Amino acid sequence: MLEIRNLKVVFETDRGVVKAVNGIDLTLERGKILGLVGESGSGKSMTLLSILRLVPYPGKIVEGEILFEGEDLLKKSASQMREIRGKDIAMIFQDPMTTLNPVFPVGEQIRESLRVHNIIKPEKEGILGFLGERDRRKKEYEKAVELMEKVGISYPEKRYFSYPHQFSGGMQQRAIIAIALSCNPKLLLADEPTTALDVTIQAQILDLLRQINEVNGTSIIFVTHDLAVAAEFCDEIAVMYAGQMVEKGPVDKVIGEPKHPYTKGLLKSIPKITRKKEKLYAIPGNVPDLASLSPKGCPFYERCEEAVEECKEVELPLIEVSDGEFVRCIKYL
Amino acid sequence: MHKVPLKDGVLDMENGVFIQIKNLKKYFIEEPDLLMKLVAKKKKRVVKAVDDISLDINKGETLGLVGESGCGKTTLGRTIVRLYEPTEGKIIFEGEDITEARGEKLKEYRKKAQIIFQNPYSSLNPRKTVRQILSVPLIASGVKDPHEREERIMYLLNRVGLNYRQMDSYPHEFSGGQRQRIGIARALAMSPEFIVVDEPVSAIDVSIQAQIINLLEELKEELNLTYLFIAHDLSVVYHVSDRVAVMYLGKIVEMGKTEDIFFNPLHPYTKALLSAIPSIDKSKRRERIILEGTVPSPVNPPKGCRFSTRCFMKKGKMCEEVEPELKEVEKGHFVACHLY
Repeated sequence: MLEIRNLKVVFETDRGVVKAVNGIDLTLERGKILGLVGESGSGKSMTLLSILRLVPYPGKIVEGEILFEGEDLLKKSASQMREIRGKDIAMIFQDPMTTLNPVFPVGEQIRESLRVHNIIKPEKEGILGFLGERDRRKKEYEKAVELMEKVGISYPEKRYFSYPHQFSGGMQQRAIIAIALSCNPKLLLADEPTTALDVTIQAQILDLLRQINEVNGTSIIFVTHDLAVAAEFCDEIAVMYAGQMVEKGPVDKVIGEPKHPYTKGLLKSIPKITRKKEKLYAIPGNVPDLASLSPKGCPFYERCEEAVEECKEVELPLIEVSDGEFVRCIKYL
Repeated sequence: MHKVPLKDGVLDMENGVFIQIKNLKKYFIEEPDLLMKLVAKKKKRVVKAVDDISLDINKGETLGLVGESGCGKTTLGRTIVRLYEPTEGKIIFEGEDITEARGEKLKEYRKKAQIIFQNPYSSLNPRKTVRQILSVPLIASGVKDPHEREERIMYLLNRVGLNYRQMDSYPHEFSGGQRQRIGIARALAMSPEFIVVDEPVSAIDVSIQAQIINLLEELKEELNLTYLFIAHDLSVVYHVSDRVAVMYLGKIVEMGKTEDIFFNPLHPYTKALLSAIPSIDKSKRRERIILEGTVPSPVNPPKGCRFSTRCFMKKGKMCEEVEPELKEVEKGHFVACHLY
């Protein structure tokens, strides 16, 4: 249902052109959960924002196609995009505190999205539309309350008029999920939805998202830096590094038998709760600065322990190593 | 420093009790101004961030402190190094009561007890170079000679894995992981014996976290340090700690050896917390206990057991009325729960 082909996003800054997303290919089937894993600056959030065409200035999409149900989103007009945003494709952002508007009651913000997308149709069209306004408003209110109940906000009638600061972080995130669900989207983009939350609350939110996926059949793209969360929650995982996709495939393959040295390193460097304690493996070096990254060769070259001389030069495609499993590494050429 | 052995003999230096915290409380009091009092009838609010905590830290160990945000773990850490004034209770460091230490005595304590902060972006002054940042603690600890200071700074930077040529760079020229290394160097400048490590990796990229954890462990070995390691990431805490204390709403609910806590958790909250850890290994996944609701406000903590509002193993009335005490149920394994 979603296919991204050779997506490129660049930022033109004083320090030169930064390739935030450098040729990403993705496909997502209906009802599946795809995890995009990477560190800050790896381009995972930019990929998400490009789908909704919300890449902030001075960034722009310079190349590629984003096909959503067969239609290229990059060719849509601004007003067509406004229709799609929130209705067909909804997004949940990382920090719930900054996503909600602090000066409007939470319930009203859920209702706003119902109103904008005309979910409850006015009784009369055109100039007489105001006649059924009171009734329409009531129906929207009821629908918003229903949504709040569905995402697990207790006493929804009372909480409808609460302001965001009266909600805890987990409750705010639930309210945002309610907004995202208000138009029953086909695709849900979740940008680190649990990073700002505690573990027990994270478990609640992941549980809620999984229910939504199972009950409504909503596809989800889940961006996270936490491999363990991705391993538990997603059907497929794509690992990103410095604007490129280095490995993608079904969860069991990527987590169980990682191929790319970066994925291997990441998995090894996570402390595990096992009886034997060993010294942690640490990937050497630092996260690369995209502005000063060499345009040629593998971006992971400097930190890679398995690197060979050719890695500096070769431009690699994603190589299919087994059914549905892709790696961008010279060893599998 | 002159050491005063305790009269009641609680302190036992041979067993290595290094820091003793006794019934420590830290309340934040929010007093509304007169106008609000009269017009809006606002009342005084007391946030009980740390409420009656007692614990011992042994020389050379790492005590892990876990809990969700707002449970008071950072407040406890900061109170121990006297960044906050304790409301009640005692902090005894090497047999000396430093709860009310002032002036020179406090300065002496600060040389021995340091803190590494959570956020390497806000804990370094953006207008000061690394050299200036690291000079401050050195001057305070009496290194007056500039050459000696420079040598110390070079040594420190080298020790935490930074290039000494970057001495005159500003914090913004470093990445998150490198900044945290500067924070570590700053804490080490005093040659402390005890460091409160407050969430050292939560603001750092995943591939760098392991580097910082390893560095902290190496330093501990090399310099014979004692850590109070605060984190909400349980797998990190498991990796570094000898003992672990679990906090909930300003109280310690369970404390014991790391293995006991992780493989034989007794308190329902610990059980739920552990079950919520996402795991890479499918076979290691525990059955998830999903807690309902959120942490109550520390302004009005629930009566009785503070966890009773979310507990899935509640026994009934008793839990809601009587506050459980921290009891030793197995050797060195303490729990505050009516089930035991």
